[in-house]
Amino acid sequence: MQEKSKRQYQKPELLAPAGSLKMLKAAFIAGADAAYIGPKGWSRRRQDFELSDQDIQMAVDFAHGKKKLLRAAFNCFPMSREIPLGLSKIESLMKFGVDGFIITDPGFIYEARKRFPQAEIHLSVGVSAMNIEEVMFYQSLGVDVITAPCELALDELTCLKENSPCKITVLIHANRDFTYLGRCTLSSYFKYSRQDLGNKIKFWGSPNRGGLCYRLCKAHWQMCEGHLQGLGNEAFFLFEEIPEYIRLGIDCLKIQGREYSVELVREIVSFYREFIDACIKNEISGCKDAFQERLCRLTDKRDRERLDATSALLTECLGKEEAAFTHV
Amino acid sequence: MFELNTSIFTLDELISTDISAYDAVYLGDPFCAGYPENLIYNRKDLEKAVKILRENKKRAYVSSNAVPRNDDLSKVKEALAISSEVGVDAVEAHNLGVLRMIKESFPKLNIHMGYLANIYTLATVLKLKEEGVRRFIANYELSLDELGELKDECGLEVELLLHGKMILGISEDCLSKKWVPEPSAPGNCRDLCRNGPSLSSQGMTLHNFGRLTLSGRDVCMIEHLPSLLEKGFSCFKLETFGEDREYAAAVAKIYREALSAAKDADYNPQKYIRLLEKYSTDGFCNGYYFSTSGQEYVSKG
Repeated sequence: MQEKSKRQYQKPELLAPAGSLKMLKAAFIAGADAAYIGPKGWSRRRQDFELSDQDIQMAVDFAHGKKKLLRAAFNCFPMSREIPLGLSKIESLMKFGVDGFIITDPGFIYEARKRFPQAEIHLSVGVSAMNIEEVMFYQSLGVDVITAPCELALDELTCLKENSPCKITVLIHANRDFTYLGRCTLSSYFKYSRQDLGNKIKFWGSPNRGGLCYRLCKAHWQMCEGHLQGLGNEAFFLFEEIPEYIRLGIDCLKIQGREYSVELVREIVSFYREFIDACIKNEISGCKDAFQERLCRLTDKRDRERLDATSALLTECLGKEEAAFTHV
Repeated sequence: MFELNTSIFTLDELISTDISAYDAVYLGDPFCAGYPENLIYNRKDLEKAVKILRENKKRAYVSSNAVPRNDDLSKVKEALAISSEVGVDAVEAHNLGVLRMIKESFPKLNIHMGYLANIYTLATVLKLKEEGVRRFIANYELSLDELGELKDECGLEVELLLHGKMILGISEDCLSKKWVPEPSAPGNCRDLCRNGPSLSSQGMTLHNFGRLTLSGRDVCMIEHLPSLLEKGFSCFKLETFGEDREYAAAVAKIYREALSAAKDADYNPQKYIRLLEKYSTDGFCNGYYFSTSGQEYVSKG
């Protein structure tokens, strides 16, 4: 028994966001094993948080110099005619040495797999693949790693782990919307515009189409007989679940937040690096409270940044100051 | 030739709806498995419903769970088996896992992909075609120009929402239950979602329907029928679930008449608009068909 409790589990990869080269370096120094970036025009974020080809090359070199991995997110649904462009983009990033690609559109995944048999393809969380049959469908398209939707419970993750050949990434810091991710057009129902970036169209107001989400779910909502403080969109830090995920053999623990400050990302990565290492060594019993207190302080910082970002988005969308509701 | 269709969730609703102006009906509620009358899971009622549609010379499609979790899959398979045995004209899949199940276990069923399949690109449509899909509804965010190109290049039937509320989101839990803590008729959750609360913010109205968030405004494409027909679209959906049965019958009659007249040079949609206005509480919009925000209405006028 003694021996069993001291058993060491396989160490999951800690995957960090990199909204800039500075954030990438901070994340790696803080202990991330891998980081993901968005190539300009191709991810679910504003261009300020995406990287140019030149920066991606530097990011790869930095990552590989530290024996870390770099992935690129193509996590929006492109226009049909943009898919050939996307494939060329993947080709050039592969030449830079990018280690994996996070993709959303099923057809794009299938085309990428056919053209690049050796590429590592990750299924974006933006498709909300909810069940084993769906995971197997994406696997048949060519996916190697799936990013599990935040809603999945431990028994559902266990089922995916046991019954699919795919590796599994779980989000340990992200947010849960009031709808399934990728199944919401509330933002574009209110405001939607297209911008030509040269060879890529961004659709502002549509997170699915790579523009930003105005987070109208976080505005004040009047219900016939009452008042709602937002429809529901809560950020979370997983804590108690981490040891369970490690026992289950989850392959990758992912932190979202390319739009956060470098300092906040550094602190989040550093926290999870130490916490995961302690879990692996089975050394958390004595210091769990200290970890928890540290996480509370991080939560406050994150909520302040998130509230500012949401207020700015609502103001941009509505053309006037609008206080957002952010719940802890 | 065109097809007008709508969705009907229960046998009672089918019996109480005048379906004379429709060509086909999607049977069953893909968004909620929580009530026994849901035609997707009720073999006896489904058999009766299909019989009614056949007697009226209408095509019968059956929907399937839009976002099934692992625990739901056995029930989904059972439902597909029922559809297969009853002999329906097609099943509708919103979920790519359900598509896989149909292909593996019921390869003879015709497959339509529903709205929540999140179809945005030709590459995806061509892959779905390889999987045996016959028809699809794309994500509403695609413009008419994009949909036209998609249709011409893939050779599948492209179904368009012509009129009715758009689904803006689907949630994990029933929001009607969450937001209306004390329902007026406890126990009857069908009433609860049919009378789901309206929500408003920033001059915009939304409707809650169980797990769904719906647009307050009704998409209305009556002014644009000539160009839709000219572009070669022929499968049209009127979204009428959650509406009273008079809405479902009347809107279809108006559109059937308008579609027949739309090819005439002097097509005048104004009289139809006036008729449709009677059935709309929050006004009209055109969704994303003209690359505007979903809530805008683009008048030709």
